[in-house]
Amino acid sequence: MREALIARVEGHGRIEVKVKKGKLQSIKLDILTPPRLFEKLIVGRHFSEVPTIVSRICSICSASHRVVSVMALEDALGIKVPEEVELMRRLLLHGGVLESHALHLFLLALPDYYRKASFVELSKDAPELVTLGFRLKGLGNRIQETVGGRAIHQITPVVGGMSAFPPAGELESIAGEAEVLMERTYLTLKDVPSLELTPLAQVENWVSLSGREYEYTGGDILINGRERLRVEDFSRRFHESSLPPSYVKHTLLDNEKTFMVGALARVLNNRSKLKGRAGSFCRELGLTRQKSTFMNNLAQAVELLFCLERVSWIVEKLLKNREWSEEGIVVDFTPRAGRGVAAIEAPRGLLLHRYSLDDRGYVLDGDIVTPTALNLSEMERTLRDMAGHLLREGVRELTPSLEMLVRAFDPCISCSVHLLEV
Amino acid sequence: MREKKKTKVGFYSLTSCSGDILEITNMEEDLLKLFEIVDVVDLNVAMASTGVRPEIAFVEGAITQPEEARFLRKLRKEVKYLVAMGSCACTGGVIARGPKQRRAWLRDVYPESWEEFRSGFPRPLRDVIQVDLEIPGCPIERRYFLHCIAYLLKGVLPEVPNYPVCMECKMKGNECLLRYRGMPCLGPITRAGCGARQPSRGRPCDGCFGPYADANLDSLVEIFRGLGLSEREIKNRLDLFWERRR
Ligand code: SF4
Ligand code: SF4
Repeated sequence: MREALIARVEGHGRIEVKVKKGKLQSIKLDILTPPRLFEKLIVGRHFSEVPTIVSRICSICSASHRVVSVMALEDALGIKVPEEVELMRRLLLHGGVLESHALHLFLLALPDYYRKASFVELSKDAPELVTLGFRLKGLGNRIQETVGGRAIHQITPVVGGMSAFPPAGELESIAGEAEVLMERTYLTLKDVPSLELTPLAQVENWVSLSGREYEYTGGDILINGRERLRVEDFSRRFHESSLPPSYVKHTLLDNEKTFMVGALARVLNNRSKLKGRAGSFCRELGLTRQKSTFMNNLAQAVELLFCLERVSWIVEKLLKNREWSEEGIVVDFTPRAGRGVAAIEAPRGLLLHRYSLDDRGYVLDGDIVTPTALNLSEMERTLRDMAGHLLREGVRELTPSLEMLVRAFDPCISCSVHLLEV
Repeated sequence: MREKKKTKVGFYSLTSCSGDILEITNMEEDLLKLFEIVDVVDLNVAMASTGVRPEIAFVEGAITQPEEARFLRKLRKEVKYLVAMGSCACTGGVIARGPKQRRAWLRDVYPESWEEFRSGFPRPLRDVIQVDLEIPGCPIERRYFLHCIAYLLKGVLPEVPNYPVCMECKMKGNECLLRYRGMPCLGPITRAGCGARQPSRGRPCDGCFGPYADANLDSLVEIFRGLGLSEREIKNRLDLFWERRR
């Protein structure tokens, strides 16, 4: 029996692989990040406190949690927000994707591509790569800080609007930095070497939102580029269960199929809507042809370019039609009883919040479905396939490859690998 | 002159959202400088553990599992300074709610498996071990973290600001939300250090830094009653980050 730690992912978890006489007996992924019971913590709280509480589910995805909770509560309360509020929230979400993808791709995943133990090692050989990663991450954080009020656990998105707007000069400087980084990011990422393991982890089913444009909000749920499902009908096709000792629930499509969510799923479902540099880079990479889990890393690269283009575009649109003021906009409304649901694309994939409120605006119950939970069964399936394959090829040291595979999903958990040899 | 040996520093995460360690990685390129100044022996999100004992340990998150308490006791014996980072580690944080309902909640959320969980009510580090320094905030502020580590490397414990958020808010020239807009702001009783982030953006302070030493909770509660807040509303206001302090 051997034990090793998977580093360079978020949270606590463990892969348990049992091998007998060179044959795979079983493989299991346990998420050991202890339960924090957020769905219960919010019961009996006023709707206005919910976004502040649920953003604490995850620091990296805090902007996504905050915004989607606000949207679900607005759905319950029948609130429509003006376009500039929507644009401002979208800008914030793009900041979140930039920070999350840059952290994952440059600092956690790319060291594998260059056979380095960590970004610190990588920075000795390829300092320009690590510097660029930090600069992209820094831009993402600057956006979240300027628009949201803080890089983590943002402040400004509130039910009914945004409590404050950033200074116009700050927005212009953000757009400027995005334009500067565009070309540099493309030139750097186009030369990333490929991973040998790529053909070993084929994606069979993928799920993401899909609307008119390539976006992180709006639209329906799209399954495998073909079947549409309205967000409110999510639980008709997707069912979850929690299996001990894992604290995360497994979700299956139609009770049997595992599926992937995240950057790759979004790109597979919406590639025709990717324009500009992001669009051409996507075609160059051929990632939609290969459909490998490992391509999720490169799908994040495509989305980094997409976000950089989009950030300039949103800023321009925001500043055009408005006598700029840093006062926030919060629409008038009266609390009422109701149920609401909203889904967005968090950096790591589909994220869904549902709430019901009593007539004074207190929460009766809530339900939160996170991308890492959605990916869990698919992680196990691809791990099983790949471990089986590697064993048949006579590979003895499974851990590094399995680690890389888990990392490609960009899970929100740190994982430790337990290899059991019987 | 011989190069001085670098201090070994480890970062550890208990039950948390990982936000305090993420805030440290938000130093961006300066993170590489931190790696030059100190010898980082553990930072799971960025590298595999070196297995080397740290001299200074920074711990985020609350304690909910027996293994976490055991880990901390062991860590305490090894290190010179043990620092609690963020409100989860300092007070139990936003998740330390509903001590009595906890079993029932677990059963509701995980009907198939709750009996196998050994998950307890979130406790702050100082409930289990002696803590040398508490860095407040949800999350902590990276600048204040740097201030603290600079002190600790010199062998001195830094002081935490002992005045309320209101001071920072006034220095920024903000219009007071409590006074002029009747919003239930916790700035008057909350420790400064965030630069009045929320009041500067149209939102009353939620109190994530916890109380400063001379905080007068009762008089603020009186003011809230005067604003027409119900007892339930006042309780909810205070127990976002405050309940365990009282
Ligand atoms: S104190 Fe806040 S930022 Fe830190 S782990 Fe707890 S919830 Fe996350
Ligand atoms: S807004 Fe809040 S923090 Fe600022 S001065 Fe008023 S009470 Fe104090």
